[in-house]
Amino acid sequence: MKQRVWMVFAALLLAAPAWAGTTIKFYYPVHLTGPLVKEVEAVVAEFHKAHPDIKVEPVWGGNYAENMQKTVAALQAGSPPDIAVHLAVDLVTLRDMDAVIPLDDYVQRDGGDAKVLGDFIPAFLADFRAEQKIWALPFQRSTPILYYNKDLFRKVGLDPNKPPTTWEELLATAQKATVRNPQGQATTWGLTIPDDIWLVMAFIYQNGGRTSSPDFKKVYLGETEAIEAVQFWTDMANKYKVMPRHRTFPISVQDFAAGNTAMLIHSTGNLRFVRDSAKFEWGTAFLPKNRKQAVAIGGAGLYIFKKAPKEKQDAAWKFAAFATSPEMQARWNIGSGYIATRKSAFDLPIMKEYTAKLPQALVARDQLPYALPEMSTHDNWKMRNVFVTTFQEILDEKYTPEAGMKKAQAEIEKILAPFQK
Amino acid sequence: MRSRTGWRLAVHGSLALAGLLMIVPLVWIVLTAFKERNEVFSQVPQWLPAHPTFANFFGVLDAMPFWRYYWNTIVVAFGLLGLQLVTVTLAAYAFARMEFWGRDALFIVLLVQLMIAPQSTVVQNYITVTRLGLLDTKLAIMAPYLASAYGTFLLRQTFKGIPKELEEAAALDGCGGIRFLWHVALPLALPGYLAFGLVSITYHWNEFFWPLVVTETTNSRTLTLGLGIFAQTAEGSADWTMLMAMTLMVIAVPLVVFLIFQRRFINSFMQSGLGG
Repeated sequence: MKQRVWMVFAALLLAAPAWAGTTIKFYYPVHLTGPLVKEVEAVVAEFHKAHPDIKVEPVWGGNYAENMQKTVAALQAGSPPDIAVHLAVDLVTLRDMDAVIPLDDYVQRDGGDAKVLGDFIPAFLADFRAEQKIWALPFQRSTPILYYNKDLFRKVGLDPNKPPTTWEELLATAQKATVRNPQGQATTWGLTIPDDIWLVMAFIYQNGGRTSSPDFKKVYLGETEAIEAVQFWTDMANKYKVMPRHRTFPISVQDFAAGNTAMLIHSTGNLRFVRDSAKFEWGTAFLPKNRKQAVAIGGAGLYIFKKAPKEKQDAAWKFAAFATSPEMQARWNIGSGYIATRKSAFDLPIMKEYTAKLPQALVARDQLPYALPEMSTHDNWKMRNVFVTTFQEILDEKYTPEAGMKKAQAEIEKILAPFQK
Repeated sequence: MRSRTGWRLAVHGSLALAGLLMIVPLVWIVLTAFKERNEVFSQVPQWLPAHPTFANFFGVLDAMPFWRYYWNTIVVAFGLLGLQLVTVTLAAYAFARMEFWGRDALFIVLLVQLMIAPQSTVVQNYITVTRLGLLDTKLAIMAPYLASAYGTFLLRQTFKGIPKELEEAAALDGCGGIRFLWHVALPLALPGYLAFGLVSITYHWNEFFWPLVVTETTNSRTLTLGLGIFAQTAEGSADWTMLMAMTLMVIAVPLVVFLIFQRRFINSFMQSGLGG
């Protein structure tokens, strides 16, 4: 209160002209290692230099889930942000709430699909499309890749330049790399995978399976391909005991950095963390394939909100286009580890210099032709919750993979029942 | 006599051991704060930093308007406590000492509030705060907690413990009602106040989700949100060295306050029956 009085006082004294431009409110999450807040603020600062008539107010909203809750609360109070970074899988929820606008008018105004969207990596646009419209610009995207510890490979007589490329090789390599004490407990794991469904999806896709329908109303967890994929995963943990059952994203990457696991399947977003923390020689590779080569794409894009007045939406579009420009995406990639979403970003000098020093970073890009949209449905957070809980129960041998996946399928069908028309 | 010495040895020994266990995390925080980043992950844990560095502390100061956040947190935690003390004292006194229709039923309704998880009311509270025009202010962070059911309950019990005779005697001397509260009940209830103050300060010093939702700029953001920048990374690893450096700076104020008032705090917890 006092502050406001002072501000009015100061304004009167200086008789400064009021802010003539447009101010937009920008919610963003930070889901990855380190003070990425600074990197986001740098993008905003660059934007201010290029567009002095627009002021972006960046608001850090926690991680993805918390940022989404913040937006939902703000929506219900009738004061949503003008632009925000949310997950691609949040698209359905945001559309069900009628919260965001399609961006096609802006794309047409600025020169059409080929000119505005042509340079984006196609896989990154695919999951922002619904009903033939584009709903967000891809800002921070990632996929899982295989990290492996070359020093540990050498120690057990594995070729440090031949990471596994198939499921069989993955299992064989993991068996060879697992080191056990006389009691038979693993002291170094052959492989670690966070028990998160984002990675289960990759295994289902690799097995030739599918996860959810393009209209977000159906899931296919009870199908043979999905069950087999989960069977393979649980066998590695429970039958062959070459990997721990449960690991979170943060713990597993720390285990890898500490040399406690020979291989790790994890987000590309951790390249920077591994680079800064690992004291051994390490490499990256595509995820091993089974029937096909595949991964699920994760990450988020920039959504523009419906409730914002027209001039704020216009300003938000300018900011979205700027933040996803090749130059900004190259910087963002180098600073964060998220994959630059523009093809031409990889031809820029700063990016060439970066990938020359860290060739592991290119694996992520080269794997993208095999990337598929992440599983996504109406009521997405509920669906995910059922899937991840059941999956962890399967790992704990409470259900067989078949019984568990069929149970998850049935429960999710109930959640999706209201959306079947 | 001998068995008594043995008993004392056993008691002191186990207490010392428990104390040691409690202090290890704190020591670990201090040591990690001075380490370099790649020293954190080694297969054999290293106690002492190989190359002690202040870089983490400067890193924290560089990553956010740290002192501003510190000020905001102090204002929120201590300001809120001040406001709570007023509401809680008056309510507790009424429930403990005054006769009025529906008093006990009202008290039960108040107690039910203790069972509602604050998270479940976030959206409603957000809407209320927005309509009041308080969004992104320090008052918004305090608003849902201005009347504390826990504090009211605690002080009602404390006031109930004050003998009736004391009140009658005070009334005879012309010190009734609000004056009795100020001159007699308040000083006697001091242990209860200290206990409540400690709980309130700790809770609001540490609170994360509500401030995250309801604040947007450095005007009102608090230290926990700053800490979150280093810790709230569901996908990647936390930035341990910076996190520990900042943790050290964040807990400094509560820690010093606690050390100064240590004896009083412990006494007050014993007297208010909050031990354990």
